[in-house]
Amino acid sequence: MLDEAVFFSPITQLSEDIRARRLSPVELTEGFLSRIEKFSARYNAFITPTRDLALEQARAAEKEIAAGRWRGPLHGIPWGAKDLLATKGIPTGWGTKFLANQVFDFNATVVQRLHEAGAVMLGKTHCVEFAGCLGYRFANASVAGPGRNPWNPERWTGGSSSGSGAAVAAGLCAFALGTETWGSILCPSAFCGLTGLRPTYGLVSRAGGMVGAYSFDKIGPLARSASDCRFVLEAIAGPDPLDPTCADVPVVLTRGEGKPIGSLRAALVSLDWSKTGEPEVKAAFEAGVAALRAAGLKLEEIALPEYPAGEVSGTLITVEALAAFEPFFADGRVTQLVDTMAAHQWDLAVPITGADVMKAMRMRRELQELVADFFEKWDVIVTPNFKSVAPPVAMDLNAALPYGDPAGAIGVGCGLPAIALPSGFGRAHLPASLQIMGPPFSEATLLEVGEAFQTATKHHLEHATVA
Amino acid sequence: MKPNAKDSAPLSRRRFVGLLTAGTAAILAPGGAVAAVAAAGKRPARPAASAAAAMSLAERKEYARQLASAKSTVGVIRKHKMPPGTELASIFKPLRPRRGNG
Repeated sequence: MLDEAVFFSPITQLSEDIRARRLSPVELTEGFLSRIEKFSARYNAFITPTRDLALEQARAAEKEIAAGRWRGPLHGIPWGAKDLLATKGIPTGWGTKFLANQVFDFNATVVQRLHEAGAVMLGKTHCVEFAGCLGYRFANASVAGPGRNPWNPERWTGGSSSGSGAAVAAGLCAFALGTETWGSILCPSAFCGLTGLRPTYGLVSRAGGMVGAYSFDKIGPLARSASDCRFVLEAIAGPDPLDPTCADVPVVLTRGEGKPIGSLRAALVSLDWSKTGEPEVKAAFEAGVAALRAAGLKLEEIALPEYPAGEVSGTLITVEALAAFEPFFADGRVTQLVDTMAAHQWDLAVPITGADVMKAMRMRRELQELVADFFEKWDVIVTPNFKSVAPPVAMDLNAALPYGDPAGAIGVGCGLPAIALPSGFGRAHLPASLQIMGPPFSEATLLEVGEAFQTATKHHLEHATVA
Repeated sequence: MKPNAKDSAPLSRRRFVGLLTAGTAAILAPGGAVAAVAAAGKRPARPAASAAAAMSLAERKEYARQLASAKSTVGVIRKHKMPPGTELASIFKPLRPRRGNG
């Protein structure tokens, strides 16, 4: 019987123990599966556990490692896949009831790469229907209801990678994959006290992932530390002929390849807290900034480039999503979504003309150039992730999160990477989070900063009590 | 749900990609998505229109809020001044035939 602490251990620790054969991948997998059975429904974490596959992969890992064939740091590590990622022979429902029996005969590239890295897939995790690409006002817009936060099940996990956030935070898997069109990795990472990484658009293949908004969708890890995100990203990143948007750039993520923290010029973007936001989260952010300074990061307060980035990103995501989900409007199944407003999105988009869309695409390029100029001077942007802690599960999200996301609007509009780092706690001991965003393909640097921050702070080591 | 349940025929990668590109093709077609569906000989289904009558008061309010938001967003885009001839964020590339005789 494994100690509970094992299920909240970072990959770095689990991997070391597995490699040294102090920890059996089979025993670890059985332990996680048992926790899934016991706790998953409480948090709406896993929709489809894959016990047989997991045990088969765990036994194979154990055998190979015993024979001296260690594949790398993810060998024998149990994980969860967001239910938007195609998994051969296993249902992939995209967060909807009417696609609950959709089964693909291939694996998404990221799933296949994790299989090849020797990781053990425990199952598919819940998510918001269609990853929220048709909008949602309440956390319950999912097959089983809202993602419930392991820090307090009456609070939301964040979305749309709700089950991935819940599963890692509840110690039901060592890491999970999430996807982000706008916020769906950073949000559950923030609310669940996790470290999450939104990669540069094009660093990680999306082949086999549900398309929500084709020119915005990304796939990335939710994990317990920056180091853990590094391991996962190393396994899944890189060119893929099946995804023509994958950048043909060398993937350099090894520790030490990023710019050292002391050499960086960081733009500190502090938001307006006068009308919205919680003072406890603001205090946690300021403490986080102080920790970054103490770790050697040179920060200077500065505003983000002024540009209607939210309008550009929002318009393009809307029309791309309508195009992607058009078959469900055509056959009427969109009316079966939990959020009743989703079915109206086609009509609500009528004011957007084709010329507006093309202009938004021109503006997106202009924004990219503006942001590229910004990053001539600055290496990274440090800013709060959310200005408040996880809201109650039943609350209208428009009222619960009544503030904009200026960094997110720019980040997703320009395909920029960002890392979410736990920065302490707000009200009712719910997690607070800051984000560090960089220019395209700066993941190595973001991970270096994240690791330096987590060496100094230890917030990432705290976890929810799950019993 | 039963682990590894296979309740329906699996979708092949080809069909999966086909479904997705159908969506993309729709938006790229002249006149937008509705025109693409019409050109394919199908009547563009508008479940939203028929559902509009059945909206509750709260939904009507939300509909009005979202519509105002969409109009405001479009207004910002239309008012934004940019020089003529600026580039798009996406780049069109001709596709060679797979047999390599292009």
